[in-house]
This record gives sequence, C-alpha cells and structure tokens, in this order.
Amino acid sequence: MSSNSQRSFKVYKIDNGTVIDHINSSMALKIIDILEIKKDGIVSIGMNFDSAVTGKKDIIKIENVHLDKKHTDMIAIFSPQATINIIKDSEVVEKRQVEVPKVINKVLRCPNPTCVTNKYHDCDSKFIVEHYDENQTYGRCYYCERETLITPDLVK
Amino acid sequence: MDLTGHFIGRNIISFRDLTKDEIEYILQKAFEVKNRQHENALAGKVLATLFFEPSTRTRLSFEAAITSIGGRFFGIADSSSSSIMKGETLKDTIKTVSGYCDAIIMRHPYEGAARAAADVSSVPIINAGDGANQHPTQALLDLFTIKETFGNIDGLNIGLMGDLKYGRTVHSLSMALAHYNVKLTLIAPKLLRMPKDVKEHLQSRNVAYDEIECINEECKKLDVIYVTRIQKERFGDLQEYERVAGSYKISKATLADLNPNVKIMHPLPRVDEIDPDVDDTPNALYFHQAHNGIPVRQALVSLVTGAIK
Repeated sequence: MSSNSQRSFKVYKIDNGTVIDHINSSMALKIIDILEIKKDGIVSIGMNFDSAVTGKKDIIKIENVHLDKKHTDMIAIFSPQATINIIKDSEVVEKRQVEVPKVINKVLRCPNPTCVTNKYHDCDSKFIVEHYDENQTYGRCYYCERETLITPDLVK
Repeated sequence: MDLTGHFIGRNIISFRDLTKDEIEYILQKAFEVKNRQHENALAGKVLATLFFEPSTRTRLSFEAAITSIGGRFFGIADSSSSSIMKGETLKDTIKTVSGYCDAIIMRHPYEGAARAAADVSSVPIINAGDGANQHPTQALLDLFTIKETFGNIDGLNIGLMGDLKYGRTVHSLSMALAHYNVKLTLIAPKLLRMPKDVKEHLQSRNVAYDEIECINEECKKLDVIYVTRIQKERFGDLQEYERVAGSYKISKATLADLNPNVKIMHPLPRVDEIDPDVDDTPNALYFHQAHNGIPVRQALVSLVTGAIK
C-alpha cells in the first residue's frame, strides 16, 4: 500500500465538527487536556505530520462539536500558529486563527507550592497573560502574583 | 482627581491594584486621622481580624487602631481555631464571617489568600500579609512615615537592606515607591537579592536602582535605610550565614560612616540587625514608624467601610 493511500486512514475527513490544524508537534495531547474535550464526540488525533510551515505538526478532529473562539484561543498558549476549521455539511464554514487569551482560567496549576490555589480545592487557578511571543507565553498568577513561563507541564 | 467615596467597598490586597492618586489619597486621610479630624469615625462598625498565622505587631496595631476610633472587632489569632482545624476551606470561612462584619482584615500563610478571600467576600478584605507576597498596610505606613519625616517622597535616595528575596514588606514597599521619583539602593547578599519580577516592575516604572552586596561609600548619600532581618533558616550553610549577617547590621559605628541625617527604618520585630544603641539617636525612626500604623490603618479601615469618605 502506498503512503498516499494510507493517508486517508491517518486523519480521515469529517463532515461536521472542528478541525484544529498546524498544532505544534507533540502538543496535541496537551491541547486535548486544555480543551477538556475527551468526552465530546469522537476525537481523532494525528501527530508528527509533515508541515511546510513548522516542519512537523499535529492535528485534532472533533466530530459533531463546534468549538467557539473563547474555547479555542486557549490553544494559542502552546501553539500560536494553530488554525481552527469549523466544518458543517462537509464544508469549511469558518476558518480562524487562535489568539493568546488575556486570562487563563482553571487549566493550569501555579508552580508556586505555597500559592493558595495549590492549598484549597475550591480555589481555581487564574493567570493573567503578561507578555508572549511565538515561542513563549508568560503569565502572572492572579492570586500569588508571581510571574511564570507557561510550559506544558503546568497543565493540570 | 476627586476620590471622595472611591474606597467604599474596595479590597486592599496588593500595591498592584493601587494608583498613585489612590495611595496619596489614603496617605492624606491618614494625616487627617492623625490630626484628630476623624475621631470616633468607626463608631457602629464591626471588623473581623482573621489571623490564620500568628502575628503580634500587625494584629495589635489593627486592633488598637479600630478600638481607638470607636470600632469593635472580633477574630482569630491563629489557625488553631476549631473550624479551620476541622478542615473548613478559606472561602467557606470568609463566606460565613463576611456576614458578621463590615470588613475583614486577614493574614494568611499562603500567597494569594487575600485575593481568594475577596473573590467570595460580601465585605471588603484588607490584606494584612499573604505569605511572602504582599503586606500593603505595612508599605502604606512606611510611605506615610517617609512623607511625614521628609515632607515628600520624590527625590529621596532610599536603601533597602537585608532579606530582599523573601521579605514581603520590601516587595510591597518597592512597588509603592515605584510610583515616586526615588533612587533605590538594594543592599543584600547574593542569596537574598530582590526577586526578578520586582526589579522588572521597578524598571517598567523607570525607577533607578543599584544592587550592592554591603554598605559602601555610595551609601553616604542615602536619606533612608530600610533594614529587614536576615533569617538564619534562609541559609543552608550556617557558616555562610555567620559570614554575611554582620554586614547587614546597623550600629552607632555604622552610622558614623553614613549621612548624619539618614533615617533608619525597620518593619519590626528586629533581632540584632539594629543595635539598641541606635534607638536613642535622631536617626532611629522604627518605633515611630510602627506607631504610624495606627492612623494609616484607621484611615484604611474607615475608607473601605465608608466611615470616612
């Protein structure tokens, strides 16, 4: 079987749902964690595909779920070049970029062990994005006020 | 800018939240309180003082401040109180207590606790220290003392000395001073230097600062030296502590090498970083500074509860 004929089995086309493309290589699983979509529809993940833009990329396809902008902007924390395609009736009805959000609620843990968010189960984390570029995002914990480089290991 | 009534219902959590106009307004009200323009302002007000970790000075200062202008208070003095020992969360404690009082003054060992409390409180929260993070009322009384002593804050050379890494008072004070045109000299051993993000905050405000390891010739130009205690437990190697600790002590001999009018400040308690023979010199400002906690805290509590507009 040629590599081309295998292609359709690697990441098959969806008729309805959301396709997240151009995810930084190996970040797909973290992004699934951030988006909390494990229980939403059928989720297909493709990792380490060749990409003309980034060398390697990951892809996520979520069937029958249309993720809104607020939801998908969280992806930009670890994959600012990702693109979102909303599919309806086999057509791309919306294509958009992700933007780093101003506030990141709940999905990260504060690296400061004595931050109140690490001590009480009813204190959710909250980070205010201070500055970012293509490779790095820095956030300040809303509670303990410490600035931190946001890295994948901080995803809860 | 007219800030009359601006602080009613407002939380006082961190200097990150305060503008220069707001700081100046609080200081102005504190001067009025000290000049007895607001006697009995807190009559009819009930305050909660929740100290989830032990504190002597700050708690006594708040309690004296409240009662001496007619307010009443209740509270806890440490976290051995029953509901906390039973595992009640901070938020549940605050949701309950905020129904009993007009404002809550709290100290907590965890950074961010005051902010988390403010998320759920129906009354204003005043942060009396959250872990190593902020201690805004201390920094306000420090500013008040500097302003009272020198007439203004702009133009001063201020040295911050000792444990600049873990001392929350110097973090809050640095952020407060960042609103003014001051020159800072940060005097600390390498291990206990001012954290990067505080220095970045100073840079973002164009506050000039030098970092040095011990008092030197340059320190002769300082108008104020704000001393903090270096704790032995910060050093893994006690020999290293013994080696450096002596460099961060103020005595009459040290004063002889400084500006004769330099004022020595300290958030207290001191252990041995300021020799008692300094106490009787005109340079010693630290006990006066501690006493200024009364009008500053009276003004703050009165402003957030609406007792003073």
